Amino acid sequence: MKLAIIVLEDEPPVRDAIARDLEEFTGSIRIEPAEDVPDARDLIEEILADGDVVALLLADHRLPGESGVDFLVSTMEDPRLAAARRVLITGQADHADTIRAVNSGGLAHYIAKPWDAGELHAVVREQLTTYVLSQGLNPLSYLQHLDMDRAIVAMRDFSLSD
Amino acid sequence: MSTPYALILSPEGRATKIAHELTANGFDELVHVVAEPTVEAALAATYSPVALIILDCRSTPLDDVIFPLRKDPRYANARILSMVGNDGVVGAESSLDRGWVAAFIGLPMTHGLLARHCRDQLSRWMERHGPEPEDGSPRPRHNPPESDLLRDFESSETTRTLELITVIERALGPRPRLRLPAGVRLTRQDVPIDGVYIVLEGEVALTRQVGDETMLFHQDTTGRVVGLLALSTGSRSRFNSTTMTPAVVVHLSTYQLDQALQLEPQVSAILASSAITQLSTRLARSEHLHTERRFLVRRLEKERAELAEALEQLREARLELVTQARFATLGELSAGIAHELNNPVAALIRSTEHLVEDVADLMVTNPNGELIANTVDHAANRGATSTREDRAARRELSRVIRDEELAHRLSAAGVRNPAIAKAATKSKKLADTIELSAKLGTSLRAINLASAQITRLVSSLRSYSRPDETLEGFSVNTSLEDALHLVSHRLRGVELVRDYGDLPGIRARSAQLGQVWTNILVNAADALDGSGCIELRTRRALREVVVTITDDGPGIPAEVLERVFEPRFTTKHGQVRFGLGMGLGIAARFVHGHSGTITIDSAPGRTCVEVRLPVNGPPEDPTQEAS
Repeated sequence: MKLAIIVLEDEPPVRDAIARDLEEFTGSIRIEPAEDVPDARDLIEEILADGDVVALLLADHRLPGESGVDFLVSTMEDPRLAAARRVLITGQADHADTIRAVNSGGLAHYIAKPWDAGELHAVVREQLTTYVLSQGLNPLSYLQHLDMDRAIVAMRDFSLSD
Repeated sequence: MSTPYALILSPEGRATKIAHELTANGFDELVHVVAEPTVEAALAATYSPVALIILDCRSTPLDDVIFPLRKDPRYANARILSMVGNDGVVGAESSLDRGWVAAFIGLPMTHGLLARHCRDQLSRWMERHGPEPEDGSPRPRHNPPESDLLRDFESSETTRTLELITVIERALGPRPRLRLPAGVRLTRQDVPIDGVYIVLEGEVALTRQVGDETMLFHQDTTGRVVGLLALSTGSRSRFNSTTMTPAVVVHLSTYQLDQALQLEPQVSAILASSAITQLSTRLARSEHLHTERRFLVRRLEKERAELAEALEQLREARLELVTQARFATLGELSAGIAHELNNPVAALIRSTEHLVEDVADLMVTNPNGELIANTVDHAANRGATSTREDRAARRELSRVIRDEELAHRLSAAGVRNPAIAKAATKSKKLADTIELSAKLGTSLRAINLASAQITRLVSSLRSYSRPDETLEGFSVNTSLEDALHLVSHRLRGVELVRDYGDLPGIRARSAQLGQVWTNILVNAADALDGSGCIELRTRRALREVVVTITDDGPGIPAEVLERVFEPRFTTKHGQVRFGLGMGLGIAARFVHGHSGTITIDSAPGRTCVEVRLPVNGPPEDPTQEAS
């Protein structure tokens, strides 16, 4: 079962750049770009139909039509996405939108554009780890993409409970 | 003149008795005494002139009797005396309201009383309506009052004062005259009074210290007997009474005054009338001041309101000036940035091309050189696709090469061509090479796209950098496109329909027109909020160029529409959105500066702004206001 990371960004070069920065997350992780919210919604269905799960939503805020923050807030209602980690990667969310994302959109982290590749890696790694642990998944399957310290602790507990 | 009449009106049959009362007292020597039983009979009669009407109508409302009588010109000036029983007067409100009853006479009355009343009323009638004396002198006054008090009211203050002194000296003997210069205080504020001063000559002012201010209360209206009122209330003097001019006064201590009052009773009447007169004068003055104060307060309120309004207008004007100043600064800033950006952009574009050339040269030596070159080229020059299309392409690749993992990697790298994907299945090394090449091409593509966007933005900004410059052969279509670029981030999701006509170059100030299109487009973008359609149409009409920008948003309400070109009107509360969208007021000013017109038409679903610009542009005047 693969963990999907949805990259929601409408400008192609930026979207490609984020996807490129995340290319090391391969194998048991699938990076899926989407250009607007309707596309993201279709993508979610495709992922779930493939038998995979949505582990991380990495969204820009300024999109044509529905905004990134609105999208994140709306996914809170979907039980299949309840556990997904939510991160904003944006240059254009104002104070009010950010507050809404935190309070009603379950925002776990905020990355300001332009982003630092190292920061992006660290955040994704951390969020994937949290997802795996919170869902009680076997860390071993995704080990190379997780935060090593937390994963090892979790694996010890995992094997104990077997 | 003929002898006047006294008419007795007695429906209840007591006329004879009343007439007898008058004649017994000799009143019929002065008038003809006549009687009528009813109002109708009185009106029908021919008596003239009628000086008095004696009414004895105890069971009829008086108004019903008096009104018809007064209407008749013969009775209009008659003085009316009304006999009134113990149960009082009924129905006399209107007559009283008009002051038509001279006297009420209570019954039963003593003998001779009615006659005396009538004599008094007759003399008053004579004074006002009697015959003019033949020698031209005024009519004789009515009988003067017999009481001292009422008589004193009718005499002047000077007469009264002289009379007072005379009477006092009669009682106490001659009183010394004190001759005083100006500036002498006769009474002091809040100090008890021990006597009075009678002022025979000179002016006395009454002042009082209120807070740290000395207020003048009376000067012309000061009475002749200073200290009288304080004495009457047995209290301290309210005022400082000071001589304003050289004065002649007589002082009486309280004891002396008391003596005088006991010896000559007339003194009390004079003093009483003096006090009453003084009080009423002061009261009248106070009432006058009160009225004046109210008037002044109202004027003050009005001025305050006007000032508040002026202040508000000044605030708004200041806000507009500040906003305009910001815009001017932004214009300069953007001009500077635009120029600065030119160099790095040029470097970017050139370096990218050099990169491509160098990679191509490098690849010549590689056994897979051709494949690499093709892959780079293919990835760099592929057209724009939606992420949906990308996923579909990826699935297609996956189907063709039957390796989902590899298809995913190649697709992410930028490979869309099944043939290239197939080549990647031959070996891992080849797959790596193809993937790297594709990524190279994709990066180049990103650089090219980004550089092109910067170039467009810079060139759009350039139109703002020379606000005053008037260009010949200015292209309206190009400036519309520039404005669209600058506002493009707000137009995501909005469909743009362009219908550009073949336009001549016009004379125009590019920065100003750019601002006009920008303001209109920003308004439209805000109204559409991410979905809808904007249509831009340009065409030539005789000596004008006509630009229409239409959006299918919710429209502008009627009450907003009428104010939308006002200089300071904005529905965005004067917020400066980074130099854009400051309102149609500025747009209108710029258009009018070009001798053009701007009109706006709006209904839900269709808002259309039309700008007409003369081809010959604005007048040549160099002093005309620019931005």
